[in-house]
Amino acid sequence: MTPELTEAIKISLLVLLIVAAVAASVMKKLVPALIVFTSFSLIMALVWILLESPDLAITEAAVGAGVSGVLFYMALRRMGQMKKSFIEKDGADGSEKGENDENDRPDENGEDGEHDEDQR
Amino acid sequence: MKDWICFFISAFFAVIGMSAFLFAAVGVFRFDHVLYRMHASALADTVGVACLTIAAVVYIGADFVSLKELAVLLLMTLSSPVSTHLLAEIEYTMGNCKKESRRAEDLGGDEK
Amino acid sequence: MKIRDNIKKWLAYDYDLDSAPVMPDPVEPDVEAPDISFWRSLRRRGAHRALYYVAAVICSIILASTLILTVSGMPRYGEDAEFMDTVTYEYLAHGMEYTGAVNIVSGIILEYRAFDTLGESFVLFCAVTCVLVLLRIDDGKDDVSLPCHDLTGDVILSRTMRALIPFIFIFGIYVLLNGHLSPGGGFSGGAVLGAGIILLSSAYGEQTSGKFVTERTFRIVTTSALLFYCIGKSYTFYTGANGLHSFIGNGTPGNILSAGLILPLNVAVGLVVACTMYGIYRMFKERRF
Repeated sequence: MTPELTEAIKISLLVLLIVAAVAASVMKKLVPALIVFTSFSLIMALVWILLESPDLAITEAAVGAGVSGVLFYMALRRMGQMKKSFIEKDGADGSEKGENDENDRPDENGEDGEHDEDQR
Repeated sequence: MKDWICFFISAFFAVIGMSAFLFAAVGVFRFDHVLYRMHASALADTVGVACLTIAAVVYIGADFVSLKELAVLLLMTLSSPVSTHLLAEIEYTMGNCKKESRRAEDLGGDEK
Repeated sequence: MKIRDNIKKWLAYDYDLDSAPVMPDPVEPDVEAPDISFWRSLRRRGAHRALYYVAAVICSIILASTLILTVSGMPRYGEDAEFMDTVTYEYLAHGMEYTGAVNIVSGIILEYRAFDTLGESFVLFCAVTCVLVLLRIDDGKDDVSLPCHDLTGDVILSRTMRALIPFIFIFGIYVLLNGHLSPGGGFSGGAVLGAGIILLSSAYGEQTSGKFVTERTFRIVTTSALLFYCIGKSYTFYTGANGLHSFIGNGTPGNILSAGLILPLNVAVGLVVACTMYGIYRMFKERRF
């Protein structure tokens, strides 16, 4: 590993860090913003390794990429941000609401519904 | 001579692994539905990580670091399919993929 | 009244962020009604939003430029010896013989600056206490949980985690105990342990994890860990300040039982961190332990 290669990797990771931070702030939907925030913590852990501080790297990986994302998800769930993905099943499937996956972009459901109505 | 063989084997595996990551990244961006994106990202988790780990092990040789690389491969193989399975199960049971999967069958049927 | 209703709706999963009350549209002031002062008419016209944006941009520019100027005045990464002040030189030169720890970072945060680490542990304890105060259900009523797919008894998850969770716990305990010899310490090990307990309670249900982390355990562990930190470190402060001889020696660097009080303090800090992580998770998930 030449020093230039290490410097190039360091600079590109820092640029990615800035991009992730800005993206997590200006995103409108909160669930994708949470995912970008988790990726910010992951990139931060890599930067700590490149700066030769393994204490901070272990702590950042365990807390930022693991526990902090889970706690944010719990808070978002309480706030009803998952409610946009709720669909109401009719009587054939049982009349209960369901919770969608957090990977799905919340505006996908609207588009799918419109497609169905157009085809009918 | 042996060095050249090791280098070419590890380069071959590294190229395969990185192209798997490239295809997975393009797939995650371009697909519409959740299950398709999960199928694309699983490519990165299995083929990508396995090939890159084998490339690193072959390049470094017999050292203690190679055992750590194999441990990384084992833990990734043990944990990432489980998380993909959980996400897919939630999506299939609770999401709107039933609409998606039946959309081709009943055009103009009842909405479900 | 409105605030209390909103809080009740939030706790019952009824709060919709999009239908939250918004500010009314700015009303244009009448020309014939001069009884509103000039500043109030500004607020009605929505001028405070523009002011907020301008102030936010100015504050960001000031903060960013201050930080960049400060960092550019520091020595370059990797240089040494001519920019170090006496404190840094003292830490690096005599740290290992004074504290007995091979990992200088653990020696600094638990020996030279042990008071600050005590404050951080108190901050963690305070955070989990505040979450408990706000969210706990006391009177036997069940929480209105979001109906969701219950993944507790999933076959794949439980069978796979049966092989993985012991290694997570062993890794957490290893990082915790080796704080003075290798990178790690209280905070890292505690975070890994907390994540392991969260995984256990997600995969196997609350009955299994309730066997060894109940509310009583949580209370006893956190308070006794902080008390032990206070008492142990006070003894070392007292004997060190007055020049007395304390029975906690430094040992040979490199042994597991060395470096004075760093090993027990690491265990105490790690237990507080793990209990904090798990406590906040349980409070948000089910509002009871």
